[in-house]
Amino acid sequence: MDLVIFSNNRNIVKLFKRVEGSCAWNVSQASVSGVSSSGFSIGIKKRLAMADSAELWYIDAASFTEKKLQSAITAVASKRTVIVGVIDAKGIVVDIGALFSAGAGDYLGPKLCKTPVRESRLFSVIAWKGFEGTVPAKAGLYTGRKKAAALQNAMKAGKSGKRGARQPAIPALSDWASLQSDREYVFTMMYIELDGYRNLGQRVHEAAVERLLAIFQKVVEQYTSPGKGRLWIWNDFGGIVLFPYGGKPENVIIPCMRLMLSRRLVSVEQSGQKLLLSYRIVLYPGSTVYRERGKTGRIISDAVNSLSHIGQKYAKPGNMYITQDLYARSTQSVREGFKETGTYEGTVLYRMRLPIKY
Amino acid sequence: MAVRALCESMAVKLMVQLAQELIPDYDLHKRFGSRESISIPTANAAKQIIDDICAGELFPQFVQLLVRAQDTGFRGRKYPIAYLSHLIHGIGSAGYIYDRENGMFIEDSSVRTSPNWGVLREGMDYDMTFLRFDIAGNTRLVRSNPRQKVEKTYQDLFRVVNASLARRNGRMWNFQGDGGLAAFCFSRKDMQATTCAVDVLHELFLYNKVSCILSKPLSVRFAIHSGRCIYNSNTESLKKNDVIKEIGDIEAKYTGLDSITITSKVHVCLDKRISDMFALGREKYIHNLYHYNLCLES
Repeated sequence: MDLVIFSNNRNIVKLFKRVEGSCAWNVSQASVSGVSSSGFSIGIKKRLAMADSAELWYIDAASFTEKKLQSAITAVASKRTVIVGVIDAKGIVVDIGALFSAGAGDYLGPKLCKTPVRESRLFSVIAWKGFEGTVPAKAGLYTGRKKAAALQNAMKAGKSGKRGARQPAIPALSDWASLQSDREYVFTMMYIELDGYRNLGQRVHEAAVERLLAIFQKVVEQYTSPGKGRLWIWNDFGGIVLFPYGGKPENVIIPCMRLMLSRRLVSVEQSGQKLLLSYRIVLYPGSTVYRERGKTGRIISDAVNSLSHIGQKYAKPGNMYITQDLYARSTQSVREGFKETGTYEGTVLYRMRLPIKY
Repeated sequence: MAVRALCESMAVKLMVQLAQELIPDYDLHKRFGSRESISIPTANAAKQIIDDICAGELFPQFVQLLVRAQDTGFRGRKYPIAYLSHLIHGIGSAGYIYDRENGMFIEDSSVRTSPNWGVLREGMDYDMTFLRFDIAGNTRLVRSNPRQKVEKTYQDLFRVVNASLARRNGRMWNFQGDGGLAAFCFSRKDMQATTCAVDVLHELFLYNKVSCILSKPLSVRFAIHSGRCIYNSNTESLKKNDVIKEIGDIEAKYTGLDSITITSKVHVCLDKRISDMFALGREKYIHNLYHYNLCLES
């Protein structure tokens, strides 16, 4: 998502240095000059005319009087594609509530301006303003190499490779009925894999292992179907399930939590073995070209790669993880079920709190 | 088919003995109105016995006897029964499934769910496992929430419990809005009752996260106990049963919020993967009590 900071002060821009490194944001600075009586600066006016897709703006209050700032906020907020926040490092604004009444989405007061802005704050602002369904091409989806590749592609196509350059948005799949093969969509992807499968062959007969894996696959399908999940890739011991993106994240998170909590029930009632099954799950929103199951061999997707890396190299056995995007869009009660666990390849991850007797 | 099975598998004397297992005073000659000295042709005898068994709605039990006669023997001897698989299949298509562990037909819950599984008989004594559940702080919930919201929540609870019972061949014997009593009677009944409670507890945990419309999360207590019980279709009379009285005590006095308490009688019958979830409690009661609560790591 484009994050635009309207300020003539470099220190204000530095407040967003943490966010600058994130793949989820295109941070750019715009100058605030020539503020008119209506509160409009030329810079804001021009930029507002261009804002066709979702953008997050922060306006430095230092260039305005309180009244003009309120007018500017009202004008910007009326453009429904823009969320606008206020940076008030000097404590100029007296009536903060009036800013929110005018349509502001955030306010960074003098105390908050002493420390860099956290990315989670921006996600919360987006969620609060109801922009969570708007997924630009980069929001939380691309990391590292993919980002560079995307920029390179844009440059090859004759577009600007600079930060802040717009890229065509990838549609989020909201309904399986509208799906077309060979087209790229944003999905919520679920990685699931049975833990300790390498030793499974030593403990269980080969035929029993095969039976167990077939049952496990069925269990995954059974538990993910209420969230409209569709098994997409399956490699013996695990696979990837695709969910539509754009609805409530709980629609996906809750079925996965149910699967985690049901570990012992699944082991006893469905596995047909004396084993206590353990599996790990990663939920990750990302884009990929869709092809039918069985025809996915040649798909090259950074999101699928990243998801698999997290699932295979980062996720601990018997745990479930979600990305920051899903975490930020979830309700408070769902968030309480997770805690931040770290960052892997640029993706901030939250781990599900498991029952003590798990 | 049943008549042919009897004709081809046994003599009239054995047929009568089998019928007397279900109808104690059964007298074939009386049914024919003939003297005992007159022999009855095998086919006629078989037809009369099957007619009488069907009239008494005892056909599934009779086939059970035939299965037992073939598998484990009747009065010390095994009898191969012709067409037995056809008979079992026939009963299956009538909405019954054969429970091998207990050696009896019970109704298929996907076809029909009656409180007695279609086979329990009034006044007979059975070994059963009970699951009692109760919404904690019901009075507070009713006072602090609109009636429609409370009713909707109770309906949701009923739906969740019923769905879990249906998957485990349990029967709801009593539901009074804020709680109820479910019964399990057949194979692995202790396991089924316990996994049912765990399943519902987990489901309510998720329900509270996304669907609960009350001002506070819904909290439920579960207790599981097993023992002998005389079946009676009038659930009010069940309250006098010792097992039912005990389970009420265990649920009310020894079970915490969002917890499951099971007695040692149940615990000993569980698969280790499930029994490991439960911790032995310190309270003094006539049975040792084990508890499980869905406490998440910090």
